[in-house]
Amino acid sequence: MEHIDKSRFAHVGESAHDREAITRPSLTFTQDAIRRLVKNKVALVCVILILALSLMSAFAPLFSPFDYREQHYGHTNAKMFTVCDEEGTPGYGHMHLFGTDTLGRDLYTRLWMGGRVSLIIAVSTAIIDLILGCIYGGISGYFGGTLDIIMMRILEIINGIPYLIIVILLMMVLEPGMLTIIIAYSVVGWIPMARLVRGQVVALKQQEYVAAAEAMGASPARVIAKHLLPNTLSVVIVRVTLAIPNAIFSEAYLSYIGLGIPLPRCSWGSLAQLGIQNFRMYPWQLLIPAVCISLTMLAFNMFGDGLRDAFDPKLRR
Amino acid sequence: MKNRFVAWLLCLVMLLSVSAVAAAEVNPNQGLGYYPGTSTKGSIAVECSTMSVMNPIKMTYNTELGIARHTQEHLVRLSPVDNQIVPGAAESWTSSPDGLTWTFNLRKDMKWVNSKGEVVGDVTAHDYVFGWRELLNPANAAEYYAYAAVFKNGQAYYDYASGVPGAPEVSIEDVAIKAVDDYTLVCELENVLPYFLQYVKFEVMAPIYEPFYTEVGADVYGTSPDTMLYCGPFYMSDWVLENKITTPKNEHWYDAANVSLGQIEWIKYTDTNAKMNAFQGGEVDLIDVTGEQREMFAAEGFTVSNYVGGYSFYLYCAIDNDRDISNLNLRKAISYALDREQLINTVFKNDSEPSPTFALGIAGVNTETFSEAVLAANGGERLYPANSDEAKAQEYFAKALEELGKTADQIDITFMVSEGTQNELYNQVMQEQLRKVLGIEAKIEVLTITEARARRNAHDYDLFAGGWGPDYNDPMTDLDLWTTTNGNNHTGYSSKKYDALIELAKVETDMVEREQIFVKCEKLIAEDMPIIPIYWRHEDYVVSEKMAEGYARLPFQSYNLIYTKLAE
Amino acid sequence: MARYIIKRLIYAVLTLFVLITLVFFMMRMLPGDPFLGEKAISPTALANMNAKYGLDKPVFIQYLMYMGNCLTGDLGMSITYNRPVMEIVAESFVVSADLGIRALIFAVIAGILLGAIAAIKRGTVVDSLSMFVAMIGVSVPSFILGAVFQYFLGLQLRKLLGMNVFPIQGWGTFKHTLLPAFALGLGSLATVSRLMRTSMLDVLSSDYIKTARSKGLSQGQIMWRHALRNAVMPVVTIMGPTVASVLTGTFVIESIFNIPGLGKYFVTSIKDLDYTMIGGTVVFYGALLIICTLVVDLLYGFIDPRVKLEE
Repeated sequence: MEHIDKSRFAHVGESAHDREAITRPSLTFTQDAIRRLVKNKVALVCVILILALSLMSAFAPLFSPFDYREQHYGHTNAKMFTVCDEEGTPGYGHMHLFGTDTLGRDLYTRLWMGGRVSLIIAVSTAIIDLILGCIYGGISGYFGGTLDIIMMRILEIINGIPYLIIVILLMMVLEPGMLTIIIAYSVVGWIPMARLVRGQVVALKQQEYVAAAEAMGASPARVIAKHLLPNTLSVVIVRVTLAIPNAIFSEAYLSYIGLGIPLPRCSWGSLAQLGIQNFRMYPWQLLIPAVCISLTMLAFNMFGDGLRDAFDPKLRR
Repeated sequence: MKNRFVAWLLCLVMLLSVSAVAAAEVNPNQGLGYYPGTSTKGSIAVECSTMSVMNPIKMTYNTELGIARHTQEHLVRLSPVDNQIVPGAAESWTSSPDGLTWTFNLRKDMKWVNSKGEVVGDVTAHDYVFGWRELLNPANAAEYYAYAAVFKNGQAYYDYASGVPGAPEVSIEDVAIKAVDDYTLVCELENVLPYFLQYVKFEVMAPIYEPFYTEVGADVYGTSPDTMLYCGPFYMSDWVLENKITTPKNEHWYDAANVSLGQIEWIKYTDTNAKMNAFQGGEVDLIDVTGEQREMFAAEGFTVSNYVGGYSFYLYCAIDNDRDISNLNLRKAISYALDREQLINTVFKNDSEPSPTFALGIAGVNTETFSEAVLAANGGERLYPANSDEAKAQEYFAKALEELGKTADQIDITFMVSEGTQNELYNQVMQEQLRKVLGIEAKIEVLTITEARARRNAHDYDLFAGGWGPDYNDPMTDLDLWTTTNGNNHTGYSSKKYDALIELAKVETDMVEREQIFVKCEKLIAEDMPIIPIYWRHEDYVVSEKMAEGYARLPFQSYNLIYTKLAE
Repeated sequence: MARYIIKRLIYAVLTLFVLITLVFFMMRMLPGDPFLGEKAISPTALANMNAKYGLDKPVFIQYLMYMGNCLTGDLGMSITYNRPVMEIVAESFVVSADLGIRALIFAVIAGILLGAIAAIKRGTVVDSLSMFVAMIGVSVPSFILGAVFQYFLGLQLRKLLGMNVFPIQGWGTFKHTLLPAFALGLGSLATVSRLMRTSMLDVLSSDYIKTARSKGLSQGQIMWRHALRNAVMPVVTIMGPTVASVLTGTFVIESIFNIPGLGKYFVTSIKDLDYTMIGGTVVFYGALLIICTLVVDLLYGFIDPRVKLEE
């Protein structure tokens, strides 16, 4: 073995401070999640896509030469890129980028008007789903016993009442509009989530870390919020992303029975429903809103996957 | 009096023959080879809509009545060729000089068959008596009982049996429907009814075979093929609820030799794309089509047929409360602001006509249609414009605003709409037209059909799009709607002048005079505007090349397929 | 175990009772009148109709009568169809269940496989591909899916090949079930496969899988004996209500493919205000839902040994 000269080493002494120092930056759960999320390229692209759709919905109708309800009788069911040649109409000389619908209304403008409705409904109902479902499911699953049985039976009862009855009754007391739609969807929308969370919690609460937390005197609220719910996160996120299209389509369904957005306003769901009537003759009337819905869906799903990877403590490395 | 009535009847016969313009259809696409139709030999499949009840006395929907036309034999029928009354179960009939007593002589070769097409018994006059009595039986709660209430003591019996307080005792035997012998039916009317035969042809006036009926029970009769008997050109062998009814040819029908069709399948569709695909794929032979589908067929060179069922469409206005719409000038402004032609071109994209007058599908005395008589009396001017007349609309609107003390954006109007894509489109066009011409921000409120009907009947709406089809070939069927007491007058319109005119028409026996009274009614409607007539409906349908000729779609008989000839 | 089941059954009856009661009073609050048609009906005829269906009595008396009849298994006569509700429900449920079972088998088997494979091959093309399929199922609503299938696979394929591959509409033969079952199943397949992939990923990263691996078990054994069984939990949870709703049919698919199923009555009975029919569909669906969730809860205990059925 080669001899090494001792002079190459120096005694630095003992510093309590240095010994305890943490060289890597300390990260809270959230900070770490965000850091991991930003690293995820796909998730980032999806965020940008969602933002783009939202921005278009917010601003495109403002800058469009056409009004969303203006009917061009000379150009009903016009093809894409038809130039409006009706003198005296506000959009004279401009192009119907996505053509017009069966009443001659500019589809480009309507698409983004519809985006406002659909996106707001999608996001807000998803959030309500998440909150109600997690709290209800968490409590029911954690406490178990008779409370659990009764809480789950309540879910069955709500689930068993025909949705249409609930909606028609709501319609009698509420003005048609965005808020009403969100309420109507939220009344039943959170139930699958609650059931799912409860199922996960029932399985998870037998785990050692729950027993450990309980032994250390953690309150039930803390155990549910800090220990159980984070571990159900992966399944919850999937469910939330699935709830988004559900919300968009139930808005379309609601508008069909009158609780939707008041006519002549529209949503992606109602545009698709109108488009399906003529999809053999004018396929773009269906294709354009359907693609927007699917894109939104795709973006939320992939973003959900990214979120899941970021927030799931089990995948933390 | 006697002679006058005969003159009256003669006039009526003339009137009916004047309306004889249609002929049984010949397929316009014969030999084109595009859509050969269903593959089962000798059988056709036809689109139909609601078919929830097959017991004739409980029927209400058009399709149900249409199927009954094929499976039951009424005393008289309508011809598929010219829509005239022709003998059915009754070979001949006579009426007493006062027009109150009618005697029908029935054919002796009619049989009841069951769901397997086997003979169960003979059809006799007693079966008609029993069927009409059951129609009057309150326990059946028949919606169309009024058709049997025209007989002497009919309404009195119904009231008594329903337990109406103070109704004098009347027994069913007192109702003047009698079978003199097995093949002679005599009945007496409460009042003179010039179009009584049109009542007799109505599908709810079907015969019922009493032994079978009592055996299966009144509640069960007609709820499935096995619990019913048939005496028409077809019988029902299979019924999948809300889906399909199968009616094979009845070999025991008296004119079976001239029926070449082996079987009809009545299929209910609820999806427009589905029936289009089914038609093009050869799974159905006759469907109704939308305007867009019509354009598509036209582009292929395939001819789309259309027929007028007599339906006139209009906006009900609730005028008997303090809503803005109760202002006459506002209603007139709306009527002039609407561009009816554009509306039809945009929403229906077919041959429907902007209503020049209200009533449609009715024959005139000296003109082909009653509507022409109205126009002639109005100097050839339409009562309602086809295109938007902005100047007049503005003029009336200015008056309305002044009377209401409001500005245009304060006007509060809501279209009440019953759900359905086409309904919603239709109302959105009117909404937009009002916005453009008058600057009114009208709202649209979409409701389920039951709720919409309830609110319509309670006059709790502003504007509601509705329609009316004639029950018989006389202006009365349309025009008595707007009398104060008519149950179908959902507008709250109550005009002494109008009521008096209708009462006058009921007793007037000079046909030309009588028509002039109706013309006055039409003009009064346009003046007081309890309704805003919009369009006369033409319905488009396509027929596969399998059906060569002999079928008919006419007013009062939406389907008549009995004598359809198939392509070889 | 037996005690648990008995307890749950008692709760099930109670739940059904509360459900029927709630729906009974809710539907009587719905606006409109079942007997108002397009044309006017005389007050006497209306009164006779009301009397015939017992609607002239005070609502509470009607409720008691209805509950009494329910106990004897009599759901009344449908107002719209003049037929016993039981008969209509029984006839159409056979059709819906037939279609639903096919759709479910397709959705569950294909969904679990897709999800599991995607999880095992995480990050590969296989993963993306299977999730893409799932995405289609969930992001394209059934009214579009059904219409597109019908047009392309029904009509266009027939024109192309000159033979009848898939019937366009109707019901009766095995062929008739293929397209609607596919369209119906695709939605559930998406949910199942997405959930399956996620929970499979959770399971694959857990310690007992590592233990199993280190024991030297084969990949197949690990997947089959340890991973799949534990990962299927969330899927089972969601299956309870899904089974109930898929078996009772859907309005959209039935209307596109013209299938005489039960699904449409859930919608039409409410629109027509056919009280007895609403009651009948709710009783039937409610009972099915309760049974399905009970079965799911029992299955929990079998599938996941960590779950103890509570006393």
